Amino acid sequence: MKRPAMPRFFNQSDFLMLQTLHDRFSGIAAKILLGVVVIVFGGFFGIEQYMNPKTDTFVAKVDGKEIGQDQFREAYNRYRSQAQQAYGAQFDAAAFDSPERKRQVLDQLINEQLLAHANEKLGVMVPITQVREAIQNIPAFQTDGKFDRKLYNLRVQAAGMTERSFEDGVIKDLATRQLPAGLAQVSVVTSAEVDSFLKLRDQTRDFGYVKLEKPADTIKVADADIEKYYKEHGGEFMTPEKISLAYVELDAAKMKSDLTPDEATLKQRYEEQKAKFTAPEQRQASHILVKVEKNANADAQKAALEKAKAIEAEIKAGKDFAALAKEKSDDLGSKSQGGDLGWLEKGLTDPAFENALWAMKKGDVSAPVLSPEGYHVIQLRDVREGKVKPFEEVKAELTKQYLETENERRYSDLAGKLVDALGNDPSLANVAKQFNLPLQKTTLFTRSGGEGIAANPAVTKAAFAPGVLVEGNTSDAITLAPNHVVFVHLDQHETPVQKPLEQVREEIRGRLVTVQLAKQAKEQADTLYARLQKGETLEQVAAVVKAKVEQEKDIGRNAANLDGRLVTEVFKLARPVAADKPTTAEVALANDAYALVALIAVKDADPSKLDAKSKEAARNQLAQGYSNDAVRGFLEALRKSADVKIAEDRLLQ
Amino acid sequence: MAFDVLDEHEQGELVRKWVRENWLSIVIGIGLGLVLLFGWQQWRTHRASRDMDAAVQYDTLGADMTKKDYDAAKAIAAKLKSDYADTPYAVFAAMREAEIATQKGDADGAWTSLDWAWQHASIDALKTAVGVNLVRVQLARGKAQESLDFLDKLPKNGFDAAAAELRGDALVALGRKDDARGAYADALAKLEPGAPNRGFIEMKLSDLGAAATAAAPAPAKADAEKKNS
Repeated sequence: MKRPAMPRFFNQSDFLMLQTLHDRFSGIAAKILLGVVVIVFGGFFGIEQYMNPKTDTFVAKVDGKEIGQDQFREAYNRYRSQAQQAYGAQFDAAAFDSPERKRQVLDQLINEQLLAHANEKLGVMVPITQVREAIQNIPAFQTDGKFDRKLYNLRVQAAGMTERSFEDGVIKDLATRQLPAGLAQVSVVTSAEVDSFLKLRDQTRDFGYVKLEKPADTIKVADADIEKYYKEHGGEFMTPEKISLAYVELDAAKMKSDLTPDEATLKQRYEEQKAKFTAPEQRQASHILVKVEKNANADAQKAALEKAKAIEAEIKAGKDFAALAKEKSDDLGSKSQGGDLGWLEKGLTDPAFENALWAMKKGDVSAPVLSPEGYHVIQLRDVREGKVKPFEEVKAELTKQYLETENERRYSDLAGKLVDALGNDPSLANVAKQFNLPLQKTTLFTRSGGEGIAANPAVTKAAFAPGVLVEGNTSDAITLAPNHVVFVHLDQHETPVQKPLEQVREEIRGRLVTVQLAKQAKEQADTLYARLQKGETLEQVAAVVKAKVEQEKDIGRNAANLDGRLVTEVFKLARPVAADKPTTAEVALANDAYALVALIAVKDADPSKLDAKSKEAARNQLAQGYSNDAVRGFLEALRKSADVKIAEDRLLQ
Repeated sequence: MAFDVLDEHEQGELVRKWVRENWLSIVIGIGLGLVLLFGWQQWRTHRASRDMDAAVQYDTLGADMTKKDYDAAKAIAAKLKSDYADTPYAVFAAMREAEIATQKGDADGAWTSLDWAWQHASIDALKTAVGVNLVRVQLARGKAQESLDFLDKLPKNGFDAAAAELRGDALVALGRKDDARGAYADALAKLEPGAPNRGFIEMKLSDLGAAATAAAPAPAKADAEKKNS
């Protein structure tokens, strides 16, 4: 008997490995281990994966788990479209896509992965109550502010999901928030901290100060200095870069004039669209219905027919149709109107009913007609003949329509040909000549735009892009409006040049004066501050410049009526060692003014004088800071103790 | 003899022989593997349902805290600590206990709870989160030196800014102003720019009489001077 060949469960190298294992470990225990290995390789990892290592495609790898390029792209696009919605028209896609932004999104994904991993390690679960609450709070599933089960069902299905898959998504989302939210909730804030916070926050200080105003402008600037500055800072006095464009404009709205459709074309269109110009025949009818239930037996049907026939006979005998309808019709909709159904066109009613109605003559009353509803006795009260609008009447409309569609067709035809021609011959001038289009020109304009088509940001952007500006190519079609494009080409290019000295002389003089004044002011302040440090009093120093000493008492950190910079600096000063030994400082204020300060007293606030509510507020404020710390610290700790690899090259693709 | 010099029949023969000799142990091995797999899965299911129990209870605890029903919250915390001590929810519950204690000014009680959480936190990140709170409470109990020692024991990953700030607090309490200044400056350097607690650290630092930012326009050292007028 020939045995079949050994089925190939393993390839040779696998088998060799098993064989080697067998050789190394003999004995029952090792063989049992071998069995376990088979199960583990086969069941857990899948032999396939073990045999065919993949090429790397991950953007990041967190503890061996990959964040793939697809996953990253999806997350990035979601983030991008959110930003797009938030910023609306101001959204600048080119400025938005930066490596930092990509890194930010990736960091978010890495954090999610770290948290998912921590969840698994710690055993963090999402309670079903939270899932329910989260779903019920989604406004899209609410009617009048209340969760609507039906709406939920509908919306989820409309999004192409099942409730189960949607809920799984919610759970996944909630899961990554469990640990951060849990940590943020904990607020261990001791009363001692609250007190020391309040003592500092509500601290007041007493101090005196002299304000040294900026010295008066008596500065003469030598022409030589101006020239020197002009030479050294040439790059700051350049004319802006300017360009002008040659362009070909294509506008469907301006192509109209030379088109005149001939009669035959319009006639043909008239025939094609006759239905549009036709008013159909209408018939005004009334009816009396004798209802037949859907599952009625033959007897019931017969009885109904008899009844309808009797009605027909009554009318033919001269009874008023409307009155009889009011009395006997089973059609609740028309009964009270005497059976009136109004003006009917073909295609509106049951075919049997329609056939009968259109076979009648004005004033006729029909024999009973069976429809799915029952037996109808019909009266045709009036007929409006169908009418076709004559060609002459709609000619103007047809002409207008013809011009529009024909223009559009010619426009897109021409635009397409232009693009093709530019593909073959990059010279815009040649192509313009070839198509007999005028080659127009703009005036010079800067990056911030100019006149005519240069006022359009899309044109400016394309014109200053390297393709047009540097390489001298013709641009792609730039859309100015629907069915309105331009193709642009660089015409003139004015590179920046240094402005002549005479044009900027005053500007330079102004700059030099400012610098000089600032220097003078600083020197004055430094000199006076040195005297203060050597032991002169604030009053003595103030007298030198004939300034006044201001004394301030009980000033808090947020004092509104004093210069904010002064207060901030005063609160940075050390406590005076003794009441008669103030701490002094020199503080730079706005506009080259300075203040010399002598801090006399620092008074901590007394928290016991505050009410419970203020203390609670302070406690919450501290708690908020600690929550923020805890969440950030926790993520940082997870990140540092994990093995995170980032593939920068794939990230930036 | 290398395996691949054999022809196919010989290879098959070799495999068949190997299987004949070892079939029993292979079957036992596979069986054992299956049992292990099954057991592992059972254990995971059990674990997950226990974790879920703890999660649900902790959720209720959170709701009680929001309602300020502290007795109910404490009862759940006690149960989580005794019956679910190996879940993170027990650790969180102990922290919430400490929160209640600090609100009532009971620093010792808060310390006991946080110490329990510290012992039971199973990953470094969580341990440090607990540890930072533990130091806060220690400082309130007047144990500045212990706080400093404890800060040295904290896992070094993450929470750098908070740890530096607490180090500063401890050093201030010990009267070591110069060291404290360095610690606060360190905290400010490690804190992200918009952090809500930045202002408090800046206040603490400038209260020690140092310039809070290097960009201070006035001479950095302000001196105590002679009588002013």
